[in-house]
Amino acid sequence: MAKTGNKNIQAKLVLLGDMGTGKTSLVLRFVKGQFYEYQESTIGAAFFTQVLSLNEATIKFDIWDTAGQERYHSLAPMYYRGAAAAVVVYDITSMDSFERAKKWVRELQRQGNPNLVTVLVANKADLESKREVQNEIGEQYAKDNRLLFFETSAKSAQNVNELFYEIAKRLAKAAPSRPGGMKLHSRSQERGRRGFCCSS
Amino acid sequence: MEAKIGNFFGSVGNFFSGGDQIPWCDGDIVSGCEREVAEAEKGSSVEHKSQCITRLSWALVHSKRPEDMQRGIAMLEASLAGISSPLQMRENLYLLAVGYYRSGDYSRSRQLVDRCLEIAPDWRQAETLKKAIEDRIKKDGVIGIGIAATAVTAVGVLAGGIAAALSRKK
Repeated sequence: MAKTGNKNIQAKLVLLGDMGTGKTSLVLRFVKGQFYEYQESTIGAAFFTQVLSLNEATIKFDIWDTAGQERYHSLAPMYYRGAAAAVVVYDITSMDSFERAKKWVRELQRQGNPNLVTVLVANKADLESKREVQNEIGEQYAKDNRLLFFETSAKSAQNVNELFYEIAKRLAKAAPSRPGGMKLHSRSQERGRRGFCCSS
Repeated sequence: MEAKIGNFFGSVGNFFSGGDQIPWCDGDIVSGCEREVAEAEKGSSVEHKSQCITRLSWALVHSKRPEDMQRGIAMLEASLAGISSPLQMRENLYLLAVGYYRSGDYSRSRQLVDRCLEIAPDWRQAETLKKAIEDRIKKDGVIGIGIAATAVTAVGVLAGGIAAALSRKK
């Protein structure tokens, strides 16, 4: 049985991308194991939490699922500011959404956190017959910009858990240097705190 | 075992601190949205102006400052009458529900979120808010019962003390 390491890491993760690319569907698939064919568009941002246990650490993700609508774009800095990881999502059936994803990547690069774990996600891999963005194009762009790359399907669950596990592994590895958006608790510290039920 | 104990204390902590899943908004974001609206007033398209106002109302009802929340609620209430699109209506109702929830008017908030769910029955964001409202109502009920029970106990102890004192006098 895998033993849980002695690191407890709380990490802020933000999802960015064009409207309708499947950001909320990816989170719901990861957090609740659910998929809905029709998803109402997110207003502003929605918040989820999920805990992943690795051999070396336990990661508690605070996930900010942002609205893809252009009118909420200027609220995005509030969510990616101080994040430990950013997931930029595009839809493989929409070249426009890929172009929009590139803009998000540039914006994240400009905000200048060198420790930010950034992932480019090509979602809706189940819609192969409607594909507009070839896998190699996305992969090459990710390589050129030093991003992780995953092709996923929230519908079929393809690569969804793998995506978040890979982020968790990177964060666990980076934990001693404590990038922004991460809080590190050792078990002994925690034990001390747990005596008081209402300390926040 | 230790993890279970930790989870228990975590949930007790949440019970008292009222941790919900609705974001807070920083003052600088509110200020930024206010600047945008002021700029838009100087002569932008109606569409752009309405987008800026939506952003500002979003920021206000998610703000930590009660006066911002109240201003956001007032803005949204004022704009309700002029909305024709169901999409915009659900957005407005949702933001109003957040505003009333944050300002402590849970019954009004629940009414509004129910109206949201009439427009969009499977809308998970509204369902999350509804759950937060119901948890808060339940929590306040439990705390209310606790306060009432404490008061009854205190009155009982006091009455008992008086009775004992009187019987000693006799």
